[in-house]
Amino acid sequence: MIGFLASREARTTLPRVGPYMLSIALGVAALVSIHSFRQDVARSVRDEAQLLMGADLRLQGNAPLGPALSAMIDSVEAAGHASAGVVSAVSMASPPPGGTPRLVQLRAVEAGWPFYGEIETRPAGVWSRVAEPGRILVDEAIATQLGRTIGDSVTIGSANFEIIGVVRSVPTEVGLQTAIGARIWMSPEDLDAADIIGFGSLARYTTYVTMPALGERAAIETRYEAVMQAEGIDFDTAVEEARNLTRAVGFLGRYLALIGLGALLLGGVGVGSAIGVFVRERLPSIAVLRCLGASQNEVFAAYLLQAGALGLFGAGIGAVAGVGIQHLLPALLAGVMPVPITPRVDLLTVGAGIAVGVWVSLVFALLPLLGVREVPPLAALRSDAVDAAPANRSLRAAAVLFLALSVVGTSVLEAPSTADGLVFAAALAVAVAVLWGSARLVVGLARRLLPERAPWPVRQGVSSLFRPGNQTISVILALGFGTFILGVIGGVQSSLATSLALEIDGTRPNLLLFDVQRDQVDGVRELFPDSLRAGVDVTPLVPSRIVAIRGMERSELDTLPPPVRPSPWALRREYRNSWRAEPGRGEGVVEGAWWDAAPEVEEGVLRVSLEDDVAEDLRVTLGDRITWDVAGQMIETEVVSLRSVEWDQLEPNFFVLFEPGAIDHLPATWIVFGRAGDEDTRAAVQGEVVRRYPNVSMLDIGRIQEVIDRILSGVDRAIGFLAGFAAIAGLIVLAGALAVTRGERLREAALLRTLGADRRRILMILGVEYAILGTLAVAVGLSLATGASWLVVTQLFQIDLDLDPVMQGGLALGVVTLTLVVGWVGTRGLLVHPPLRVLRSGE
Amino acid sequence: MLREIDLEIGDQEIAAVVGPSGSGKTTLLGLLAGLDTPTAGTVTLGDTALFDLDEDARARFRARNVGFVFQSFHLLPALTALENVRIPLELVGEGGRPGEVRARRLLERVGLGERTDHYPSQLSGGEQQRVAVARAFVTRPRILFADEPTGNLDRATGERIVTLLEELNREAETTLVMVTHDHDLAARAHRVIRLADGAIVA
Repeated sequence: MIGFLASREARTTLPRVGPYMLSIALGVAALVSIHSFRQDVARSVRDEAQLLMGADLRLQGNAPLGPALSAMIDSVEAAGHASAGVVSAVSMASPPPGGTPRLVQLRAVEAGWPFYGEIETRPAGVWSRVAEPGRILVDEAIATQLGRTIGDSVTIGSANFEIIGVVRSVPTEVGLQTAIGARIWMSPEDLDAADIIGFGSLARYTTYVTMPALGERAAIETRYEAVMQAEGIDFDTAVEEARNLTRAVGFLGRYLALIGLGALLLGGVGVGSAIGVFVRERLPSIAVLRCLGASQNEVFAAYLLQAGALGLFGAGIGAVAGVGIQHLLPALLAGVMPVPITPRVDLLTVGAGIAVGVWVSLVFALLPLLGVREVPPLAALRSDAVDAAPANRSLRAAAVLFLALSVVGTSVLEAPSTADGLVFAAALAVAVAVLWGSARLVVGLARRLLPERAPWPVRQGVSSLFRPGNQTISVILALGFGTFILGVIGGVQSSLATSLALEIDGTRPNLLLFDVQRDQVDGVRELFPDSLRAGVDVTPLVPSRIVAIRGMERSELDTLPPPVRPSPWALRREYRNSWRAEPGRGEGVVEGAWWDAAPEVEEGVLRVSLEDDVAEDLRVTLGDRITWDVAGQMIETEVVSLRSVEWDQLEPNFFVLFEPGAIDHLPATWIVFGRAGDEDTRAAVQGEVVRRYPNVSMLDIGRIQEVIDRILSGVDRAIGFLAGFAAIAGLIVLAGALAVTRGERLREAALLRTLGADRRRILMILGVEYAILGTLAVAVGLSLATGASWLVVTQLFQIDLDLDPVMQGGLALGVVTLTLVVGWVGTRGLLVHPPLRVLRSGE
Repeated sequence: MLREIDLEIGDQEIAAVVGPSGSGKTTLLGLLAGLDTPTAGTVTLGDTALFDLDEDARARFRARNVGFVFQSFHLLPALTALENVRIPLELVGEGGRPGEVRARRLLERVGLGERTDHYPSQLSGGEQQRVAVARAFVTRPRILFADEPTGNLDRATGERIVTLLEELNREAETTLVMVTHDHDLAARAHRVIRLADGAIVA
């Protein structure tokens, strides 16, 4: 009986409600594509972990391997594994004869590397020729920086080299590596010939090893751990790198999934209102069914079955679209992903997407469908009997509770953590509550403040806001909620973009030099242009480790109960401390006092200031003693102040500051940070630094910005894509909300036409109403979005909120315009057809 | 629907259009009122040829010169009785204070002086139709069209509505054209126009 009813009825339901199911399809498409892509990335990175490194493990340090480790490598090779060394050094390259030199990164590569993956070159297949003497491969950027390309020669150090190819991609290097300078690949023999690695110059020595078996890698790590630590060698495996990357991508993916869920829930609202309209239209036939003997539950079940089938239909379309998008995303995010992403359809993910879609359709359909149960059979005879039917309050309350629980449940399921899911659900609840409250307020205010003297169409439009059967609450909820979700996406996006913009234009520092020695500081500073020298910031760095806190050694501290046990990370990390006479720009004392006002301490003890968060991690406070190991010397210190530090500022900042003066004799290196003018001036400064102080490392902030911009634009595209989903879902919801009262409005407009109102006045009445609804929904939605964005960026990303006024304005204008257009389009039938037809068919 | 209609209705005349279902009564009424457009032919109200005007100009013409009473009342459900009666005045720019007084007086005249602030859903069918009658006369139209004005009412209530229409018609010196099934009602008209299969038979 139920199935029969449902299938007969579905013939009329599908064309009426089907289009609104597209909003479910959009949400499901977003979820399926995000989750599938997240898995694609995780799987690709895991499968291609070796590609991330070009090997299975890597030993890296600032000096060639010592005898013990060299012997280890020999034995590994004897056991059948391969190894290859890569020496990286920074130098200057110039187009001969005597053109402007540019900072470059040299990579002297032994044959065999990379063991996994291909290095793409132009012309193709020339990578192996890097071993030929006097031949080099270069980054594309060399062409613009040196004006030299394939076939030309370049001077590096004391030798000339011929460019035989351009490297298009190195699987192991993505992102920031090129920030230091364009890369040049050569053979180790050529590096010797160039003769640029002298005493004190900075080079990094890396040994790559193939060793697929986990057990062997672990054995080496355990056996040589002490040696490696003593020699300052970092030991990394490809698997670990892949795991870190996967974790980061997974985390991002889950936040994106919340946007998808937002789109889906928005779709649910659309489905709910569409079903509400439909049910109202079907009331007479439902009454007839009841007259003929269908029970309350049978009628209800028949319609619920239809809602489920329609949800399945929408979710199915969405799943197919989601899989399509999944296959498009790798191309969209090309250049951002570290390994090639191979899409694979995961039936479980697709199934889960469909299930969530059907569930959301059912849950949102429940409330309007309860009305079906309450249609009295008498309504078949007397149309006013419907209004008299009592609503079943407990059923309604149960449906609302079920809806709320479902939203919380899906949020928790999709969010990265339970807490995040609860916060997300709570934010949605607050948004809905505030929108509902504002709509109620408008209804009240419009009644009270009705402009008596305004022209009639304005009064008529305003009074539509509070008259019986008004659509104020439903439209404001739909519009405001859509605006809210879009506003949050936009606000978070613009804040992220701003925080990652390094502001290199204008007056900000753009050249960072580190590893500057005590006797080189003045010389380096002299190299900056005269006019900019005053702004150059010079900061000492003192590498330090914690030996003891309050006289307790590290091993002893580890045995303390959790509330007073320092975090292992804070206790064991290598600190780069500094000393400072005045507080820096982005920091302030929050407890205790700066040096001049702080209490004196015991003779032979130094005063220190700690960043407040690290102090908390170390479980220390004012007056506590910390013993530091600074290059073998034990330094006893006492905490006299705690500082809060704005880490996102591009300024040198430190966890721990020593009191100046007392430790000036300790070994330290300096950071020199300043503005060195435009790109050419920077190149000239860098050239002189490399020539005079080969041990100094440099970072060109301008280049870093370029790389960040490239990555951001990829992420931007992905987020924009999702925002598009939410926007279209919002549009469908708006259409649904307006459709609820469309029939009523059509009849009203037709009657006004008959009584003599012209088109202009009818459009004006509708225009006034929709303009007020749209404006209010946008105002409330954007305010809520601003609050939520602030919460997300300050709490989750720990950056400042920065809203883009153009984007916000565009969103506001867009939503209001759309409301007017959708509202007007809804009544266009009336303006085209003569009014009498509408009036007659309306009976 | 209609063919070869040649019809003239005199000033202040009461004419009844009768005929079986599907004979074209409502279509004729729609054309006379300028609500629908004919495939051929003209309709002239006073000195105005309706179909020389565009849709909007006809709407403005209706606002000044034409009143309507429908079988199913067609009050705006979101407006009170008084607001419903005021709409035609608003449309001709007379919605101010004097308009409100006039609307109230008319509602009193139709016996609803106590129910001006009720919504249509709070009124009985007969009361709703009386509001509709007040609305039709409020701008003192030159001609009033009534489409089965008693069709949805019981006999006694219908009787009252017709009496009201006759009285107001006399007072306001209006021409009245009504479509009806009801022979008793038709008998009270000055003139009966009989339609069959889209043509006037008597």
